[in-house]
Amino acid sequence: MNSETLFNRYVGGELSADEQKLFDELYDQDTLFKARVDHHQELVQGIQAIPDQSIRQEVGEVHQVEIKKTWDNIEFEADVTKALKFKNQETIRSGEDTSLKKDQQRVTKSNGRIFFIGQSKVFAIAASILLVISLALTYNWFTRSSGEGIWQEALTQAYDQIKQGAQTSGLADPDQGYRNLQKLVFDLLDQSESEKAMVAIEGYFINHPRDFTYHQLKAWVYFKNKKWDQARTAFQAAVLEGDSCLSKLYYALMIKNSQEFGKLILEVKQNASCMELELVRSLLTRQGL
Amino acid sequence: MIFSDIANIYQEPTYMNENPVDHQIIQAIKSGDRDGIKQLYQLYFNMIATLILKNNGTRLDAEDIFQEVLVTAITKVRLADFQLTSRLSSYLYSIAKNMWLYRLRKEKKIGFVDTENQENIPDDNSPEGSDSFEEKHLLIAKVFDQISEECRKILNEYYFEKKALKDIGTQMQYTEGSIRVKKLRCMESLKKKVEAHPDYIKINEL
Repeated sequence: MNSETLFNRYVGGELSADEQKLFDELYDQDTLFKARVDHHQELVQGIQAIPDQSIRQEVGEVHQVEIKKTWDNIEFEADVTKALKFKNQETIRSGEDTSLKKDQQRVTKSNGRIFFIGQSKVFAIAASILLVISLALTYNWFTRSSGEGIWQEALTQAYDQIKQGAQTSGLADPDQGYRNLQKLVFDLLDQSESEKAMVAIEGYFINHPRDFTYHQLKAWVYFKNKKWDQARTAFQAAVLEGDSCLSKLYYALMIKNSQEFGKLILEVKQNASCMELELVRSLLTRQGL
Repeated sequence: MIFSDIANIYQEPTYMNENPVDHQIIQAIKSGDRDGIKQLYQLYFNMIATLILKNNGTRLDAEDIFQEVLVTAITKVRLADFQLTSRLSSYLYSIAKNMWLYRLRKEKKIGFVDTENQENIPDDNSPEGSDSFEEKHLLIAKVFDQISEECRKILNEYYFEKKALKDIGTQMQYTEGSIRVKKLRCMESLKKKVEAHPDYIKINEL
């Protein structure tokens, strides 16, 4: 079979297996034949590319208009995901969403006692009433106390020390993420940006377990804003979450005239690891305890 | 013409798919209406971008591959005998996957994560998600209550409860295509409200 017939059969897509073998040999050996075949392929590709190019142009034009918007939407989706995570956590905490709350039974262990939250609606209402009454009584007692200035001074000293510690913590700190948050919160509080400080705390603890540090940091924000009741409750929450040293001491100082005060101070003093903390020792000394 | 050989490996669909949204997009593309291509961006770019970004690609790669996918798909759709046999999303995904695998092999990059059955919900490790919680998130959470109840349900179940869009659709008696469009409209509505909020301008000025 001559090269002309072979080429024609190739163009017509009619090559048999044997002819294909011959074709490949000729293509490798005969430069003129190769050039002819390549030229034909270019022509075919050119013809095939005509509709492709117009579609490519059409897609390119839509792309120019749509792509920025599309990436913006993807980023917005990420923001919505984060916002909903925050919103739903807040909803569960505040108990607005009863259907979610029904499913949730949180058990908090502290000092051998167990608190059941969300056991039943009746229990929740009764507990809320009791809490309101006890808070009102505590507040009343608290405001009548003559030692108010003393604990405020003590806690202010503690606040300043912790702030200083946060602002001077080194990069080698194993808990650098939390230290950065602490520093940010105190910086924001220095700038009277309490709301932003709260946002920073909430944001950080979306991705971190809400241990006592969460409540303690919030307590400082309340403290800085002279929201004593909320600060006390937050310190108490930090104690319930396991901080049996500093938060317990702060909380104790804020309820100095209550019967519980002496018991809490004793617990702190009997805890050897607490007494290793310089801040604990200095607070107790300053208060003559 | 890098992908021309890949484009040819797709088996031609043999019967018309029933999904009305897919059908509508295909009709628009067939008739040369650019809204069809626009809808493909809105509905499927994220899916393809997730595939590329999770497999060593960049944003530019994602854009490039998506355009190539569209050129291939539109070329096929405009053939006289074209009929869709699977979901449009699966069709586009399979083209993208093969194109990207081809490129990975060419660049000798190994390892591939198939994301077809994964929802494209941004997570904390998402390349598009920032690490910090910002005021804008609080604003979104606040504005969220202003959108319709149905939208709140769809977005909450999808983005928070991480339910599959298909399952949300089944529960709300929407087809998969319809729920995808619904979700898109809900996001548009939320975004519009967020951007119209006075705090939004303040946040962006910071």
